[in-house]
Amino acid sequence: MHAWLAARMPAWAADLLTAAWYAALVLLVLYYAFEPQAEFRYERL
Amino acid sequence: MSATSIDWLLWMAGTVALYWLAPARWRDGLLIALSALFMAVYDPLSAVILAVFTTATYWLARPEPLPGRRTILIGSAIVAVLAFFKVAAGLRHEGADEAGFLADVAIPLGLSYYAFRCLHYLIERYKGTLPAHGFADFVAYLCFLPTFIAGPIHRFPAHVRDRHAKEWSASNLSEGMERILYGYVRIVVLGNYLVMGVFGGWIATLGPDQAALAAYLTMLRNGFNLYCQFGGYSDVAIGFALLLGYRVMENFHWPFLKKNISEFWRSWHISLTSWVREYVYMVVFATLRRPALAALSSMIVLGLWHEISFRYVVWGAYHGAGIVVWQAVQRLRRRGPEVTNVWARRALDAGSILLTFHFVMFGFALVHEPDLGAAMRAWGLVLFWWL
Repeated sequence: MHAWLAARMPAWAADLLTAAWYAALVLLVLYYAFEPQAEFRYERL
Repeated sequence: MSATSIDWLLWMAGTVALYWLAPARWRDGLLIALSALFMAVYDPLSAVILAVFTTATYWLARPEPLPGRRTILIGSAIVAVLAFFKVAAGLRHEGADEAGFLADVAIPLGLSYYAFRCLHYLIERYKGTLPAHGFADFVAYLCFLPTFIAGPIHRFPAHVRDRHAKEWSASNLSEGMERILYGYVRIVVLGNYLVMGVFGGWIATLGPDQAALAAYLTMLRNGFNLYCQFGGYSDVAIGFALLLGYRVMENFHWPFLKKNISEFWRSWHISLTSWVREYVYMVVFATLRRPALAALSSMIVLGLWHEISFRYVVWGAYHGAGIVVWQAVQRLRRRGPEVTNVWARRALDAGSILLTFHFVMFGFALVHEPDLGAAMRAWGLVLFWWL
């Protein structure tokens, strides 16, 4: 994703947006990791 | 053991850290030792079966060229062990009275995946296409921790290539971390929260007068959830493999946007479908010269890989029949006039994607519903919603 952004904007903006994107995803995962998790049946095949 | 468990994350993070901190000459041995320890801790039975599979397959398949009879014998033994656990799984699901002691038999962790890896190695050994390798290469391939629990069913030549070529790379690290993060987003945020939580919760609010809509949306929910869970898990496995310097084959490629069922099966669980294409479809086709029979038999094998039960035979036959019909449609289209208008072409493509998507979703109902009767009732509700 960073390479795609860097080709379209200044390097500092690409760095900032990439860092914000990953931080947002990490926070989302951590937040919803405490919700009930579905059982993944492919691991018992 | 689940991809979202803390145990799994700690094992993988610890494995990656120890792997790169260890001196280069110890790394391969360390990775094998950590994988073996993981199996011994979480599923000792699976560790024993894998140890027997590994030693027996390697030593019995050593002669070069490998005789056909010996190949069939070793392959049959692997299939027999796999079939035993798959039959038990089928009987347990159906709650059969005659299941007896089989009702308590759980499938060892990762068995279906490493059994098919063993068969792949055996067949390629018979064909004489494998690169030069030793016992350690084979053990490292079968015990590879990132793909051990739920695939992808990667191939031996690529694994050996990466094993001998790997070195620390910042781009692998960044790509691997990104894949792991996207994988967890798919599992936790898209699958568990949005599809099962929000969308599933909304379906549950539909009243009895909207039973047809609820049945239809439940099909979609199950299909999307399976894609998010399994696709997400594959991302995590591919990501961790990258962190260790290995590039494992992709398992999914936008399967719900495909224009026909053949394309769908080339983009869903790619490592398994390509296995079945190479070792079942091509063999049946080369022997009988009947593409329809080859498609049908390979899809039934694909179904039985999941579980040896009537519902998975039906599911496999359903998809096999879909491919046979698609092959016939292709033959007819070649004879007819070509659609040249851009808008007509786009409309045809959109219609094809929708048709393929619904064919697959209806197929999932065959295995997600408790039994075939329930699946037929769900189909009936959706297809004859006005009644």
